[in-house]
Amino acid sequence: MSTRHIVKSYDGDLNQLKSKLSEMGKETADQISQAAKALLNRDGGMADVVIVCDEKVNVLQQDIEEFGIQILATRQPLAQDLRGVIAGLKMASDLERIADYAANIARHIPDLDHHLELDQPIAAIFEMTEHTIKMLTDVMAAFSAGDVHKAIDVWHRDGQVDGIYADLLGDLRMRMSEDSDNIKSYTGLIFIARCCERIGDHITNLAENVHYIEHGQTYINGKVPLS
Amino acid sequence: MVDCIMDTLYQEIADMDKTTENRISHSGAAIERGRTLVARENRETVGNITVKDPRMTCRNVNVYYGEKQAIKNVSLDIGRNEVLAMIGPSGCGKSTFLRCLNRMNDTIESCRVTGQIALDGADIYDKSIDVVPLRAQVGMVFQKPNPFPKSIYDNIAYGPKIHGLAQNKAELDHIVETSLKKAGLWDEVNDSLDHPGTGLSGGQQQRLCIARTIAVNPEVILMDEPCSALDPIATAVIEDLIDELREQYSIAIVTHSMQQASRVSQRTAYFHLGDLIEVGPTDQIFTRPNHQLTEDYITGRFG
Repeated sequence: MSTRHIVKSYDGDLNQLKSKLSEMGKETADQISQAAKALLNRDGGMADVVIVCDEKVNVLQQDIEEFGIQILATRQPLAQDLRGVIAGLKMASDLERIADYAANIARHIPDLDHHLELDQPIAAIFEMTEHTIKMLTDVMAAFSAGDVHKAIDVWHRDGQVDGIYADLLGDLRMRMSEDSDNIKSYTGLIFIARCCERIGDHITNLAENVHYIEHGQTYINGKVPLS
Repeated sequence: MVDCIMDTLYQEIADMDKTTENRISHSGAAIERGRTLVARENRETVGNITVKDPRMTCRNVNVYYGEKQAIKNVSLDIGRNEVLAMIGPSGCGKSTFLRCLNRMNDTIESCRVTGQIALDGADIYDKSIDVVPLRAQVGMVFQKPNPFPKSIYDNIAYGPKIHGLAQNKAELDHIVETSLKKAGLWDEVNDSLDHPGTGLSGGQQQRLCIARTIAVNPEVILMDEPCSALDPIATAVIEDLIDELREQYSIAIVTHSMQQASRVSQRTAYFHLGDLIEVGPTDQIFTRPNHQLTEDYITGRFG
């Protein structure tokens, strides 16, 4: 485990950056959760709240960016400290994209016809969101603890999300061919499912950054690239 | 049915295009609104020279060495409980300016200082001011550690003795211990206070000099490149100490290391050929300076 900096306020700055990222992670996970609930209940009001709350996450990202740049300018971090700040900036960007996708899920909820029976596809999408929320929570915990193994474990769990997505696509294509009157609802579900799948991909980016901070190399596709 | 799917998809893509278009036009407008730096030829100070409730105020200060003008009409406040860093290339006047703050320039025969410099509102160049107590109130730490050729104890005790700050030995002992603790040196020397100050390492000697300055209850501590003779670890120890000292004192530090200025200070003042070019919050100076000369200097683009 790393020891403290001689200049205590330097540790203070780096810890503050980590806290800001943890807070952003929590807000983002919450956005996915709220979007998923809105979808499950086909609740337009709840969906609107998710869309409005996306701004909160954007503000957090801007704050992290400002603070990260300030640390680079005033502390001249090197080695693991430098990797931590750079990766932190990238992670804030990934979290912001994840939150955007949560808001996009909410935006497509009105596409779904209330009279249409969509329980099975919605349940599959809800399962995808539950996976991604757990992945996000776990990867942010891994980041806080500097636990690379935990992060890599999250990285591999994206396969489950991709699996559900592939099956769901097949199901929705079949429904579209049998029920062309409700294309709008089915394409809405495809977009929503795609958002969930992209959330999973961005979470793997977060895991790769945790690996990079500790090891100085990015974990790609189950391999560490040759230097 | 395929037409229906395609129509829906086209609509979705069209909606996405609109969002993208909005974003592009907004970012274009943002580029047009980009900031302009103050031109190199302009030598008026950029940024806010004043602070709320300053410890020291300097107005229209000029310094001459004989015919040569080293400081040109500089005005600047030093705040309470802040570290103000003064940076700039060699010969820019930053050390000259620092030495005005406790009248160290009086010791240089050819040196003439004009303007007003005040400590807590009182003009330090007033005829009634005795420079000896002034230099206790506004203490200085120099580039090369300069402990007295005395014991560690006597190095610290000397100032309080001559300023009459201790009534008896017990009080003096207390001052010595407190000062060494505040300077982060007590743990290393408390069992060898009778050893010569010159026997300490460079970093320890500098902390001894800081303890010596603290022992006489300063309001302001001036530091003239205090770490340039020290290795990175000793430097970091002093920088951490500066962070702590700021809770009690105002600190003005001259440094030729911009990196040090950015690490330790809350405000930074950039000097260039005797002019105060720019002053501002340290993170603003080092991320978004407003004067072209400041940007040139900190990015290593010297004309």
